[in-house]
Amino acid sequence: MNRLTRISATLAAVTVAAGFTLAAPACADEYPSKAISYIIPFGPGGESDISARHQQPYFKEMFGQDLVISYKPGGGGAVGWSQLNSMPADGYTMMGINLPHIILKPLQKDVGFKTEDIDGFFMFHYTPDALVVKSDSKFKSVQDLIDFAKENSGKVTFSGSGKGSANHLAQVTFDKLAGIKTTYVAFKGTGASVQALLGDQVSAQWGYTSVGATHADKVRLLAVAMEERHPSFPDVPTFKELGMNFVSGAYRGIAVPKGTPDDIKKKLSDAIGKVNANPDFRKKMEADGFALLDVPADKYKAFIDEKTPGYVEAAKEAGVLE
Amino acid sequence: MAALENLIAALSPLNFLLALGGVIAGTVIGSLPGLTATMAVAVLVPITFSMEPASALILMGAIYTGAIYGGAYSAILLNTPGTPSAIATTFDGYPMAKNGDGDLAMTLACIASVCGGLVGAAFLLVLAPPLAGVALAFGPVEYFWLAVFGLSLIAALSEGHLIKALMGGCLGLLLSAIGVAEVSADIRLTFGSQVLIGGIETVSALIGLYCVPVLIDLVATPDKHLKVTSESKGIRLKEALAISWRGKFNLMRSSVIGTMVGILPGAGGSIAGLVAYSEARRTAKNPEKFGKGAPEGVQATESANNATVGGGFIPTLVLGIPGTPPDAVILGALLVQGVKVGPNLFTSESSIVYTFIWGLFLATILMLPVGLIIGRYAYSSIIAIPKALLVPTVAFMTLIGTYSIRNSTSDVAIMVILGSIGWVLGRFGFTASPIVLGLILGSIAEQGFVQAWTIGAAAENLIGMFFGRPISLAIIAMIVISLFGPSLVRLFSRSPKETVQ
Amino acid sequence: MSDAARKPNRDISTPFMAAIFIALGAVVIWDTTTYTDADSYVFPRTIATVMIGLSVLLVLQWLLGWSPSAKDPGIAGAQSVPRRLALFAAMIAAALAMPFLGFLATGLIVFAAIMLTAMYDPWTPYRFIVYPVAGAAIVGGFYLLFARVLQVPLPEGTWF
Repeated sequence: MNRLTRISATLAAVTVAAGFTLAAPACADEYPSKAISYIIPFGPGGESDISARHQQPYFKEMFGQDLVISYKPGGGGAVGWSQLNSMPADGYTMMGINLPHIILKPLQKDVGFKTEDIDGFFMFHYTPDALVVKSDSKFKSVQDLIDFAKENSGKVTFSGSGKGSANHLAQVTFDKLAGIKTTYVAFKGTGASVQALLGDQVSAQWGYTSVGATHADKVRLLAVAMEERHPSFPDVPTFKELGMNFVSGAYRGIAVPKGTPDDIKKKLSDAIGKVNANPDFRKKMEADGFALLDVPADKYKAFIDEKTPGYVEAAKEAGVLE
Repeated sequence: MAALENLIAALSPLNFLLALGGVIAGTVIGSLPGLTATMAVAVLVPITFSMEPASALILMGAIYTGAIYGGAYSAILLNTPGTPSAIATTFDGYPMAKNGDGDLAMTLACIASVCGGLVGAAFLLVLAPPLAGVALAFGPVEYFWLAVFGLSLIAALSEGHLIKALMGGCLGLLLSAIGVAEVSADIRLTFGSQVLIGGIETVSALIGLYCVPVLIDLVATPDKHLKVTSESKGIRLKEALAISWRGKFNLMRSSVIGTMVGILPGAGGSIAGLVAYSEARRTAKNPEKFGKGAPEGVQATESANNATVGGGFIPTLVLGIPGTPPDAVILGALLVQGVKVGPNLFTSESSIVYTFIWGLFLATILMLPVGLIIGRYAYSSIIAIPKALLVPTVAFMTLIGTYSIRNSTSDVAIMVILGSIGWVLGRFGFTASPIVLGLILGSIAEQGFVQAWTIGAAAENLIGMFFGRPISLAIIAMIVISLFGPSLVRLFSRSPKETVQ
Repeated sequence: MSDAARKPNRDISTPFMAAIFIALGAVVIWDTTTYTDADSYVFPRTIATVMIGLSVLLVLQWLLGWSPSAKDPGIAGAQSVPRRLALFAAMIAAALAMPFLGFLATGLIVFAAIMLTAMYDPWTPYRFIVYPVAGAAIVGGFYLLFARVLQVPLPEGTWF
């Protein structure tokens, strides 16, 4: 039974290793007193993941506790959100949320959660929709693209992330405003959609300003769906300047399981707000193409109510909703 | 010279320790079904914030490469791929272990992984910027055909019953469609069930379909799990080296295949292993031995899947498009550190990238002693542990591993049920591998097809889309050769009577 | 193997399995009629149709007596069916009990249950002491590895 001894020895070693990496003992009654689990309902590498990774070091620095990021992908976020409310509501579990996802998914079908069940406590940024082309594209302006599309109905192809997503809604809205017909090709995530653009598989992409920041040397933005020009892209016009009333994008925030005490929610909301206000953090986020936003816990509901009609209308237009 | 400086930087004591520790941790993590490289790397990210970018990359790269290799352990010893990359390793690794050659298979897997890892890292070192173009040359239609190529392996795995194997493949493809469709967002085949909305998680399905039947059969008899022959001691290094030398062309070809598939974002180690396995089988002198314990099969898959590590870093670092999920985590960590990826990374900030690549070489070489030692220990433990402890330990591992993938108890139930269905189907001649191939390749095939169709229809040139692109044609040719090549050769070289068998 | 091949028509499992696959395919096709987007139904509908076609082919092959022999599905003999069922029951029970009992408790109970299921050797005093201790160490070790080192939020259980 020599083997058994060896196995036990290994397990002992694992146990020691486990003890080694344990976070500092949680003794203070001050919240937060231990690491907070931060679940991203998508795979790694997307905008939600990148922003969580940006928040991670600042949160640690300001509040002394780790944000432990894990992924729970599936169903365009539905897997995570449908389980959010069955997680411990002690303030040590939170999950990323995205608009328009949490508004549109439950309207489509029963996906295991309702928009109003999601207890969001902070919306921290949005990525404005952007019309992206390759650097060497023949489309130098939005007008070039519209002119071409008018003569070649349906032949302009756009890549984008998913259907019923912000990218898809942007394509539908743009087509309507410009009076053209284009083809939308859905890919799995922004990475795959950029890959298709760079590989000349499609004529252009509906992406976010963050695409322009990450792939600055290979792509151009033709226009952004913002009220004012993005500080990182002062030369790129807004759709408003071009005469199209089109301001949209994907909004991101965090929610806690229902039943999390209000005072803890308030503290978390303040904490994320402080991270969001950090000038260093702001600089990094803006350089990556994000537009920061501050919607704390008490304004969350009003924010969702305000955004819902526009998304629903565009989704109906896109044929994602009946 | 700058290259030398970076090499020396990679060899600093800290980086050496990080590479060593990373490989050990990665190997252990990869060998546990359900624990993936993605998860291990994700947990590490906060630690790397306080490190030099190059050291952080070395640590994460070492864990990643170790985990891909570690997947071979459970594939060989338990018929359960520890990571999806090791699916094809089960085809011959487990039969080898059953025949009493588990120790040999473990050593072969180690040598092959090191070889593949080195080739992948070499491509990353020398040719990364030009090779990144491969990722862009692959459009939806090429992904579709690549998935079909992977599926064509079903014919080879049919064990004499092609129709049943194809039915199993269809079943797997349908299983992959369950849940919210990844691109079109429709909810499919859930029949109103909340549990199925997230779809069948691939790794938990792998654990269920491969491991649960093994457990079910293990408890049914008092027999030993693996046959133990008198010489099943030690690592049989000499023998393994001789076999590896004989299979050097196989190793090189598989490593190159692995690198190229690794460059394709979203394809990953499982496809690399399958394609390399298919090619090894096609070119082998004794293709009928494949699936029954051919060392060449283990060599092909293990070299190919480790080559994807280096390959996957190519689009990640050059294009900023992650090649695999662990690459995505690493990319995120780099962005936070303020490293801008792109071709410039290979010139202006060369020290980070080249130190990292040398670190990857170092980690891969360290994998040889680490792998041989851990492998020997794993093998001797598996054959020495009494059944009454082995079965509950493995069963417990499948439970905790499956849960941890998405922190979901539903996935655990799906895993057990799928495994039992797999066992029953196996009784009726429907083997697990075609189902698994369908499940793994289903979403790639479907997305590629739908996207190619949409783009082709927009251009009003569907036939040109599917059959008019050079890379597609090359893949189609490979499919045809691997499906019908052997029988064509036989038709022409032997008398008709012999071909009937 | 060769014996079974000569009397394929007695093997009723083949048409039975084919019927199940055909039914599955039909259910899939029925489900696809509810999808709103052509992108979503093209693939499953095609595959389900192919699967039904293959099943029909399988039945034809069986009728004509061409089918290669299936593996002998005999479960009798030295192989123990109750133990197989017990293993399945223990694992599925574990999946269902986890949210209520918590992971650690479930793990320990299931480990013990499966250990008893897989026990063929007689219980000597040595085994009686060492096996449970080893089991507890293994479950505890993995629990620590996952919950602490890898920070997986394992179910805590609502009954405690």
